[in-house]
Amino acid sequence: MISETIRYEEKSAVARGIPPGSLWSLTFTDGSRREETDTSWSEISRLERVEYFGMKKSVMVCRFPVKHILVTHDGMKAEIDVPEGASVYQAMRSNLMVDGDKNRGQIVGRCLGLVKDGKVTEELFLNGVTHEVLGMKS
Amino acid sequence: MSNVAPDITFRDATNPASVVSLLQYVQSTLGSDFLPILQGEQSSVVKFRIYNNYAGNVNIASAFNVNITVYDGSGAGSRTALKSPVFQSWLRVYETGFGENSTPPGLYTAWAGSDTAIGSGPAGLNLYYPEVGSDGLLSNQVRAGSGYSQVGFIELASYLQLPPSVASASWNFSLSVSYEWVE
Repeated sequence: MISETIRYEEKSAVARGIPPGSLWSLTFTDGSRREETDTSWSEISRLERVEYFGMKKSVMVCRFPVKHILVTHDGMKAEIDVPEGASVYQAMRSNLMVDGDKNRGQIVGRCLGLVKDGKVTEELFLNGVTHEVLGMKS
Repeated sequence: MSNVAPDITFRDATNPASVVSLLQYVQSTLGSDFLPILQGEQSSVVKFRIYNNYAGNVNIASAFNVNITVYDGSGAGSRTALKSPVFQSWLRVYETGFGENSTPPGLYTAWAGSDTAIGSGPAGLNLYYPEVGSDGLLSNQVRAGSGYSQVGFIELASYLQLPPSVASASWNFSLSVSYEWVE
């Protein structure tokens, strides 16, 4: 099973900087599953530079074949069925302003998307500021 | 090995690389500093750096897809673009350097970036994407060094280009950096 080949993470998701209630869950093509509670995305992904709706973007693409991804964040939920030949990515999105009192990055949401043939074909963004799920699809 | 969230800070471009809490745009001439910027003219250049992991902690994630934008202000104004500096794209930014090293402030390499207007005006980009990352590659990321436990930075120069007709006033706006990361 794919899930059994992946190392289990010792630190909790919160200790890794993930806010409570924010979580990804993967179902691999063989039906096995892993979640963020015991898995680091760095452990299962690689950095790729891809086409992104007319621009370039760096994404951390999962190295394993995925059938389905579910991401929850701040009471919102987004999921994607991954078509054959496509790869999946996700990332936290943070923001920092030049501001004396708050000079620390704040998490503003979480994105997930699909890459096929070096191009992003779909991206969803769980916006923690406006509390809505936004998306783009080609 | 997992990483924890990037530790991003705005800092001075010169030693001791203090944390920046205010960028002040004024006009300086020989013998006279901190003058108001005149209509149709440029401010003096203000340089700053965006650092990841200045403290040199271990297992700090890279910040990738780094981009910069301007808003009307922090707090209530952090999502609006109604003031002139923002919707007329007064702010101009270009990348001047990058670096990584185990010891802050990091080794510096110069880079001559493209001068770009930021803002929601017709001449500006809503988002400015730095051309090179802290590793010197054409990828807008700021790493915590090559081993997730060092310091990395990009350096930017900024100035205001005022339109020919501006009311005499003191203007405030906010500069913001966004980035993505995985643990």
